[in-house]
Amino acid sequence: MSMNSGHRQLLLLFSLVLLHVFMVVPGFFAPYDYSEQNRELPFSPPTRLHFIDSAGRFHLMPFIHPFRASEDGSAPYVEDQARAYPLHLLKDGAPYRVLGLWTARLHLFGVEQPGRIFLFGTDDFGRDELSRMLFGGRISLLAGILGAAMAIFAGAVLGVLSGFYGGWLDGLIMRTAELFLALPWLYLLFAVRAILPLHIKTTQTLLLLITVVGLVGWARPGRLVRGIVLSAKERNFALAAKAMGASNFHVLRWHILPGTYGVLLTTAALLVPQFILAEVTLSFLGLGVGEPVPSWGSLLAELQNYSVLTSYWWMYLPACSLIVLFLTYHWASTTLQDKVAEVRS
Amino acid sequence: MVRVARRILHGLLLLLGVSTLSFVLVSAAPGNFFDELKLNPQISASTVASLKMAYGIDKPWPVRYERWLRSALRGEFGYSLSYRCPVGTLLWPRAQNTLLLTSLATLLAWMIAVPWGILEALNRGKWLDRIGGGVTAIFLAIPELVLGLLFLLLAARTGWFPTGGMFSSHGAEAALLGKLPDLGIHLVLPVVALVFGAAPLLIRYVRSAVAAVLDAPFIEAARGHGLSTTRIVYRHALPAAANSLISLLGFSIGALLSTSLIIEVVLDWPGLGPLVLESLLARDTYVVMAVVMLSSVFLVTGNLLADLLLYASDPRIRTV
Amino acid sequence: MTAEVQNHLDTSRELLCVRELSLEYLRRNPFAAVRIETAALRDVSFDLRTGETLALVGPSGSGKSSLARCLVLLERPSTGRILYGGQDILTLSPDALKAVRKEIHLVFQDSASALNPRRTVEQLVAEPLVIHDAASGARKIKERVAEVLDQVELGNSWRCHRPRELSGGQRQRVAIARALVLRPKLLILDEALSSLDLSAQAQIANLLLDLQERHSLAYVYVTHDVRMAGCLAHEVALLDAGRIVYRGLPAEVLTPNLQPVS
Repeated sequence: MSMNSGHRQLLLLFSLVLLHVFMVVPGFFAPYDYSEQNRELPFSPPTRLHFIDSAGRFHLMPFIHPFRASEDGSAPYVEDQARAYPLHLLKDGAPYRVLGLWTARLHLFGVEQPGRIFLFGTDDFGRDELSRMLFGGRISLLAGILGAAMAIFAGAVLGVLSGFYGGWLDGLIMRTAELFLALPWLYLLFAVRAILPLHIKTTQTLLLLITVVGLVGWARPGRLVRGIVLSAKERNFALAAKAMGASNFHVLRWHILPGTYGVLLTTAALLVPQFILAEVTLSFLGLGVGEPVPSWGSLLAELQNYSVLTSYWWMYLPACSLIVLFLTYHWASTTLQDKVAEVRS
Repeated sequence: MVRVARRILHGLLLLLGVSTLSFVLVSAAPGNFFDELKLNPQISASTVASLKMAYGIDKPWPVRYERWLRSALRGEFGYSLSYRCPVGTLLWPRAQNTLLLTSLATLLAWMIAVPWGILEALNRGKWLDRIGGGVTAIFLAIPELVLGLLFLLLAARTGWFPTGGMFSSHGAEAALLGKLPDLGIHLVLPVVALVFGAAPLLIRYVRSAVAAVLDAPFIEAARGHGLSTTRIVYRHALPAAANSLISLLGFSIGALLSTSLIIEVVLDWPGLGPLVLESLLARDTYVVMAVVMLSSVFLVTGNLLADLLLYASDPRIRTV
Repeated sequence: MTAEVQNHLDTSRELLCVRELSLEYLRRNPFAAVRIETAALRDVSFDLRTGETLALVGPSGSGKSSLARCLVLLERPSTGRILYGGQDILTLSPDALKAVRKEIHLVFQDSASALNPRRTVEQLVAEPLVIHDAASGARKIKERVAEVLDQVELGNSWRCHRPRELSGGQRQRVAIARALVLRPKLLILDEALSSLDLSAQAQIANLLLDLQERHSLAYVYVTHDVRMAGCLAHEVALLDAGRIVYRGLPAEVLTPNLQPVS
């Protein structure tokens, strides 16, 4: 693949944006609401899309056969060939909220009632896995970004205070950072999680959880920022500004802070996956947001059940999306690191 | 010598600070163990109150902290409310189980990572390095959670390995020699899962440390003298890269009690992981604290050991 | 024109008077009872008149850079007074001090490090205006920047370039332009010519002389280069181990009778 680095970077940016677009309006991309149950179709396999019907005709728009319980028990479900529902694009469906502001009903695709399209199969309660993955992805991605933002914000503020003013403040902040770094990350997570109520019912509480968790991760970014501020403070151009009568605020804004942006960006690319994983881990262990709000962690937790683990392969799909997400972020962080090193030289 | 003493003192102070921090965090949790009891109509409020007094839960936190510290120094680490025994009796066997798992896994991971990392560094830029880099990148992107589940699937589908636990139901009572194969087969999956989780990052670090050294002028000079690659690597490059590797080793040792949490929960290994999880859910604060403290002790000690090793091995640090 | 004539008539008034300036560093050795004192400056005194140049010549370690930094208050002297226009700047209130700082400017030796590499020439030269809020509106700023760039003979086309795209001599011109933008009266040149090659040195030296004549600038020229000092200065002071050991006219100081200053 002979793509020059500029094209590669664009592709990377595009992939990242695409992954995150689902996060903004999962309701549009998901055919159903995450809590909509179909008790008669537990653990249904993914619906198959057909382009050629039984008479051999080709349709541009694929259609589906709904599943029904099979008579002979060879497989739990068989396709009901007697009924067919074409796929519709931009169809009206269950209402959902956009950014919490207004309600919409338009979905990217769907089928006529009583047809059901389960592109990723269903879970124990017959809930569409694709819809649950999209809504759950929102939670996990939001957690990752919010957590990383909190950690970076807290780290930047404390790092600047520590590096710029020095003295006892620096000593205090750095000793505290050491303390936070001396606790193993997962256990620190647990300890902080323990402060909040055990059962989280709403997304709001989850965001609160993530904020607290994020703030706890300030130590590494803080030390990095402090290092940069310490060296920038003594550079001649900063001293020149002071000699010209610049206020501390001016020196910070014009000369010191711009030097931190590169490091903060690369740290962000490293922290976001870390915090996504933190939320997924907590949800997996039952410490995240509770039913019925899905999270990739709680979706994966169903795999701890023996029959789910061995029989229903589509329940592994959240794991695939996690892996794809991490690979993309890893790619982003190496690209960013190269870019920052380039700018510095 | 003074420096060594100062470093150790620093480590001890750090541990004290960590204990305070974790005590404050864990005690700040709303609700406590007795909330469950209160809901039970058969237990009167006064019983709950007297139970609270007996365990000292009603005292203000500085008092509780001080009592806990003294108990920790005795090795008891307070009292477990769910199990009704000193936390120590719960802690040590579980810690041993965890250590068995993680020491084995860490040893294996290092044994794989060092040669592989060196190989990649020697071939840096060539196809071996690129493929290796790609493989490690993919494994780095797989969370331990997923790894554990995949191994669980392997066990369930093939039946070659047990799906969890440390011994099979009859194995625990067997004589020592009989125990070992049973233990061994139960160890395979968790250890392999941990190795898959830890090795990629280690390989990365070893590769970058060795590659950085291999680019140095003195290595080129050695090559110019006609030294063989093996000799260059083992006599010249590795010692120069030792500093980063020693720090890495310190971190590996430090993480011995904490890396296996997820794997232990998924693969049902009776270590500290499941203990801390259930205690967290039951709000059995002293158990949580003890596990957190113990893991921090390892982390701080690991870093301390690394620093001391660096001090002993690198003369440049000594003469500063 | 009138202001300049006025200035010439007032040359008898001292612009800068430094009295008994001392700078001591205390290093505390935690394991010893003794505190080690290093004196960078001892009892330094001199005067400078408007539109004139005083050269401070000395070997490295003689305290010249410390003196330069004290004059712009990047360092606080331990004792002594610095009188600018009659006022002791060491005792001024922050607001009054800020006003004084408009008139005194320091030009560093290494222009590459003294100019923020991320900023364009225009932003660099405009920075003092931003700091002192001295020009209202982007257009006024642009005009003033173009004006001073013209004065230092650096074409306006260099406006949008970054420091690393310029030669050493051009960078020093930018530094001088930045120094001129607030219409100062005193420039402290801390080895401002030492990092330049010989031809650039000559050009910048001529530029400085030219600017001095046009704007009645006073210079404190800190250097180890005795010959350059002789070219630029009206008065030369020799600095050794923090003390002024000789003061006089350039011709006197440069005679071979005196002890050689390396």
